[in-house]
Amino acid sequence: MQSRLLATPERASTLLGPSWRAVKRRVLEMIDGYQLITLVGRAGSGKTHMALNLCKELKASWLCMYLDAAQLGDKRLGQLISTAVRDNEDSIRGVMKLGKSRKLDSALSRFIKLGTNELTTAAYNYPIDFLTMLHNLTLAVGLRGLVLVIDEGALSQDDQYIGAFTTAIHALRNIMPKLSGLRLILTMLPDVVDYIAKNDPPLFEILSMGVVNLPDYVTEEDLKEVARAYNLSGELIELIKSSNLTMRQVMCIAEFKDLQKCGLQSEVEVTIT
Amino acid sequence: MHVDERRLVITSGIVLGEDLEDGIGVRLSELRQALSRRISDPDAVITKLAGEGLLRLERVGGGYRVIIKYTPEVRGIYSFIINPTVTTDDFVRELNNAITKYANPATGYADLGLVARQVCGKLGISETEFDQMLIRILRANGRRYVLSYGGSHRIKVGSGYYGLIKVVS
Repeated sequence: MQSRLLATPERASTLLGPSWRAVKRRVLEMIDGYQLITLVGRAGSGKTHMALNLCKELKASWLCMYLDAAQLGDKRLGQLISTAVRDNEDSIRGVMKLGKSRKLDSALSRFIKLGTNELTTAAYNYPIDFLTMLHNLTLAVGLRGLVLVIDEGALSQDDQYIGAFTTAIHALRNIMPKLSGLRLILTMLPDVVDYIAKNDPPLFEILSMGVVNLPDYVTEEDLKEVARAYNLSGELIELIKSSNLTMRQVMCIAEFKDLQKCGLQSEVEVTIT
Repeated sequence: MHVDERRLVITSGIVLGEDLEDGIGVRLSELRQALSRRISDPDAVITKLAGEGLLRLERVGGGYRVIIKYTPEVRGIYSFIINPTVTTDDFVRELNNAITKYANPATGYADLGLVARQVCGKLGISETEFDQMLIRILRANGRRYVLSYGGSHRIKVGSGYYGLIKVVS
């Protein structure tokens, strides 16, 4: 049942709502000039959906690797990059195949011959060198570069692995000047941005330059499209209009038509400090 | 009975004095007279509190006036004694000011804990009253604000626990 609300690459090929398409256009405009782009939005605002949608679109001219970091207990760079390699092996193989018909330098010629285990081991033990090779390969085969999308690097401000994650971002930031074709797209909750602002000001300064905020709520214009796509009744439309719902809440109502299940009706509202 | 001298000065000042722009103004002679019924050396207490920055003395005509500053503590006691009604407009104004002040520049969200502390201090209300008013505002004005997880003071709205707040422009 819940799986109907989860973002998947297939579902993410559709992007409902003009507010969300405006965000996508903004990111596509930024991809040339910004090496670090952060998609910020509250839970359910469509960060994962947007990240998957962008990656799909970018694949035409970049090697885009999408990584769901929520699944990882270890958020050190080696773990992040090796998991990204495992999860995007087909795309990487595709680029390696392109390399076979090109004249490559000796290092890249050896690189494209590596097997799956060798690739993930190299990524785990030498993440920076691995990324450098992969980046150079994308440029050598005529692509615009390498996009690494790290989704949910930190689950909340209280995530115990948040320190390892910010350290990994620092390491990636440090190699950016050397790798002109490397792009990093992160997704972050507002409380994680707050955490970084308070605890890691140098990273926050760099990060905040490339922040793109996702729509906080579904506007009437967005709702029109959802209503058409899901055949929503007038009653539900009025209810959605009366408060600032996230896209996930609206999709929940559209899919299940049950306010209680979607967490929108509760008798008591209390304070938890 | 032991008397909290600091509280006595503030309370007497609120009862005897008048509201000014930056504090409560009360004639020194009147305050001294009221305090002397309960404590033996009012002047020493007044001098001590002036040294702590809670109040200051001003010359008025032939005498002196004590100005007790509107600190959060003074506002708290004030609202307890006089119990002024905080209007929805006052609350919304202070709420919006506090959100603007504490909003993260990158996200626009402010920590509800910091916002609550500032609004409570300005309006002399308790955190519980703040929460009740906030929930009322959110219910009546669902489209003005958005909430998110996080922060240092959480309220439960619907089935979510929220601690960050943003004003919708």
